[in-house]
Amino acid sequence: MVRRVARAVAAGACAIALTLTALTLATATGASAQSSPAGVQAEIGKAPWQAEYQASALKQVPTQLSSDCRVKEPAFVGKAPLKRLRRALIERRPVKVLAIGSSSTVGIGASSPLMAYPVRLESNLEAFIKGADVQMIIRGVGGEVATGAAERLKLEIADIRPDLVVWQVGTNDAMARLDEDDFSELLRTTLSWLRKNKVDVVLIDPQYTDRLAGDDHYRSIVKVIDEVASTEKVLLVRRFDAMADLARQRGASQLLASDGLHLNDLGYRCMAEYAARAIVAGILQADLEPAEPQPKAAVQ
Amino acid sequence: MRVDNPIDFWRGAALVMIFINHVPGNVFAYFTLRNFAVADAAELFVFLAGWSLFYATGGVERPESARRVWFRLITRAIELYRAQIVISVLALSLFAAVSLWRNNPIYLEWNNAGPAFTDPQRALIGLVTLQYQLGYFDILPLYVVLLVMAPVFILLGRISIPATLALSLAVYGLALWYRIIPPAWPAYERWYFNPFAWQLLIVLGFVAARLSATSASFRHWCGLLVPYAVLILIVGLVLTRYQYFPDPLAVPEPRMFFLFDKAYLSPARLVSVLALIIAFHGVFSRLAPLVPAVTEYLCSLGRNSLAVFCVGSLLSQVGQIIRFWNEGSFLVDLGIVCSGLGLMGLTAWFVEWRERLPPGLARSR
Repeated sequence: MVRRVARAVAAGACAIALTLTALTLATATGASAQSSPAGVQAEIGKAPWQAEYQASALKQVPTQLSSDCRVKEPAFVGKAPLKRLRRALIERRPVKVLAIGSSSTVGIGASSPLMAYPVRLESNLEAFIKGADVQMIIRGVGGEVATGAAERLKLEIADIRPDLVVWQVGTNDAMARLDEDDFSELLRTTLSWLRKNKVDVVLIDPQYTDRLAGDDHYRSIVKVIDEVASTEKVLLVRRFDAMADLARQRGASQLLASDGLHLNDLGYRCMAEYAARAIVAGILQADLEPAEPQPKAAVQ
Repeated sequence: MRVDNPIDFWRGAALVMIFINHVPGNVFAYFTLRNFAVADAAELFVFLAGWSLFYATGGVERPESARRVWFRLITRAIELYRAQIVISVLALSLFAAVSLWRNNPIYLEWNNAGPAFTDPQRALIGLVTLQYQLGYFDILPLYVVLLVMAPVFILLGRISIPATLALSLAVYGLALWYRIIPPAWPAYERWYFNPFAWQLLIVLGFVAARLSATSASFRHWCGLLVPYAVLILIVGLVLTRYQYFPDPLAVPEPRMFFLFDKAYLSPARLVSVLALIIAFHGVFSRLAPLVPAVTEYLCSLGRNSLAVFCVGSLLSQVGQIIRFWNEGSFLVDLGIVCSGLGLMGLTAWFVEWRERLPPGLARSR
């Protein structure tokens, strides 16, 4: 008898717990339903094939950097076509850009989150690419090293299915003194995974500060990124060199927040501008190359 | 003071591995569990916590009253909460002090510390609500939530073990299916360890302790499962060595069931840690007489796991900073690990020494 009552109580407890969880879930799924791609579908539905329009609009983007951000060496390198991004533009659907990285992606040092680089990049891209609706998805984790970021990157890509990934990488690996060869290997395998899955990527190399400029290990991480980007043929924003150049022109204090490490609003503005230009160059490059048949997954 | 036992021993071993893993890049990190199995010291630690909860709440002979169980575990949760706040503030102060001393702001952003200095208003709220967690300071928040949940499972477990397991599995399954995870704020968007998934491990630890104390056939079955557990570990070893991990784009939804995800304690990790426990559950009695000094050391760490964990967490931050200064050579790594483990041992000794003092002297007891 006692046992039977006990069982009944246990079953009751189970039922209550399950109901509670179900209620929590109902709210959770309700929230996520709002972000369903219904809007995207509608966009695709009415969008005609407008390749010519996009390409000609992009060609009108001035090639010169704005006067505040002008540097001697090119601010980005590489000739990689951003095919998936171009495809999204042609289909006139919202472009999903995943910004992944550490504190620069979080926007530490900016006067407000709106001044951080991903938000500025979004408005830059919308200004450069007429009619584009850029949705920036920001996933920055301060202090994270590349092994963590690479794992997160794959998971986020599976969840978000972005048209472009902007990966700010290396600063924390340099600071944790991680092995250059391990870092290089990780970067290489992650980039080839991205290529295999036809995800376009733009890399952004580490932050510049005058305290770290003379640090051999730090510089060698910057160099490793440069080498890997060129062998893997991806676009690379050379933030370290560009910021070093800007710092020489006007003194580091103009670019950096009061902590002397993080970028300030001007620094983030230039970083976003370099990234935006790299992306425009990548789309134009994709215009030159023949399009390949697109897998269905990308149009989800 | 408890006599040396396998639970304290393995818990001590987990604490050592957690310390070593929390100084990333150091040579000794290559020899920790995560490089040989699809599981980590954290999994081991949480399972053992569940096991010891069974004994802490009276075991089979003197089960405590429901009120007492609630009281005990909530008190413990508060103690862990306090520990989390204290070590987080100490770590932040460490970064601030080093930053001033070396006149270098880089330390202010160490392991997600940035918001504490650039956005203290939000960071402080996040800190006390456990939503803002520094990198490597994410285990105690998990523990706090697990302990708050634990009385439900412990009391239900006394009535019906199948019901306990069913409830725990249901919460785990729903958390993985719908990705239910506590949010982090102001930086990062979710907790590093999902308590709704990890509760299954603490429940399994508790249930295993109960069954092994009450059921001879359970012990018999554990013995029979050893070869299969070893087989699973070998598969895990091969997967880990060759970095053959499931590709998030290649696995079907709900993805968390198929990946080796740490936050959600994917089934692969769960199976690995269970296999590890089954395969190694008899090792202690054979190993302990061979290495008495190591046994004594690890058991002393395990007995005082909270104090040792807290000191270890802070020492690992010091270790990271020292590695940064010295560009991490083998000797530096050796020095960091030896002095870290030495100080963790000293912490355990100190706690027990204080407990042995006459009541009048040990005022804070």
